[in-house]
Amino acid sequence: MTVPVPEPGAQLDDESLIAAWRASGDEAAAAELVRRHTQSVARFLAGAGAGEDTEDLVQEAFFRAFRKIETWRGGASFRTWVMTIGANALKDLRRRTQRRTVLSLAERDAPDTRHDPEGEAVAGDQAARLAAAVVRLPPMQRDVFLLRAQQGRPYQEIAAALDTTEGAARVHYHHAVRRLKQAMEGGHHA
Amino acid sequence: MREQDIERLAGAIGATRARTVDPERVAARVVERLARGERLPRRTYHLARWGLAAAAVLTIMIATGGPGRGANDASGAVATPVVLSELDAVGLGEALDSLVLSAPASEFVGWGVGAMNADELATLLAAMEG
Repeated sequence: MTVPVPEPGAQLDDESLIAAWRASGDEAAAAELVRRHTQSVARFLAGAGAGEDTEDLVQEAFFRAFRKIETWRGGASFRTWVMTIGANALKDLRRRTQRRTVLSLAERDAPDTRHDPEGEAVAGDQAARLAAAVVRLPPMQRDVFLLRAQQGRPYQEIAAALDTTEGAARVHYHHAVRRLKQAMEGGHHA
Repeated sequence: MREQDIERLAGAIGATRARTVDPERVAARVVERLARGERLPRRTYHLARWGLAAAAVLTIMIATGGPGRGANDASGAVATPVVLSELDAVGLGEALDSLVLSAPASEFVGWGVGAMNADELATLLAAMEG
């Protein structure tokens, strides 16, 4: 399928592209938003443990976002909002997968490197250990940590995207960092 | 390890995997799905056991005095508003932890536990309570 391309020279901001999609289902606007934010959303979902499902989940996140665009109120940026939709899609996927997967206790306790290709390539490296520990954080702590530390988003926006308060987001971040420090210093995973 | 070290390392998480994701390919697939009018999947609700009890009571109410259509079949059996179609794969206990309401009748009529009368439903609930 040929992807619509905006008119040459057109460099619209996200709000204008979203307005175009809302108003008339402008597919070129939708495609431009996807192109613009795919890499960031992919990095966020990969960090959250999406692994080989990353591309499918990125696609699903954008699809869901456009289908419920009327619920985006601008409290968070479009990109951050799509990331949280992707996190929910990942949660749905894991829930479905877990139903059909029976892990032995030994397998559950083993470090999980399935979702982290970097971890497989540079096992023992600090970044790989941190990536594995991030995947094991409780979902809210994981999402807040990634949005803050990986994506550099302000707490105010993180709170809006995750439907929580700024104070609660700070607390989640604090707990996430504490767990990660323990995992890194203790040599085991969070 | 300091907090700053963790934050510095966090910037690199997921970068390798993300580079394998092609924005053009993703854009094409998203636009294709939108263009063919694909809708969001039906929303599911995950309920605890009290949720099942409430759903069952509602079903009985509908079956005995409500519209009397939809979930009722000709024999008077009541199909619970519970999708148990995954029983074969996950077992009752797990299915009860993840119930789906408001599914179309076609999704549960015909499944062994998906249709039952009020007495059977009460027996099931009593067994759950036990």
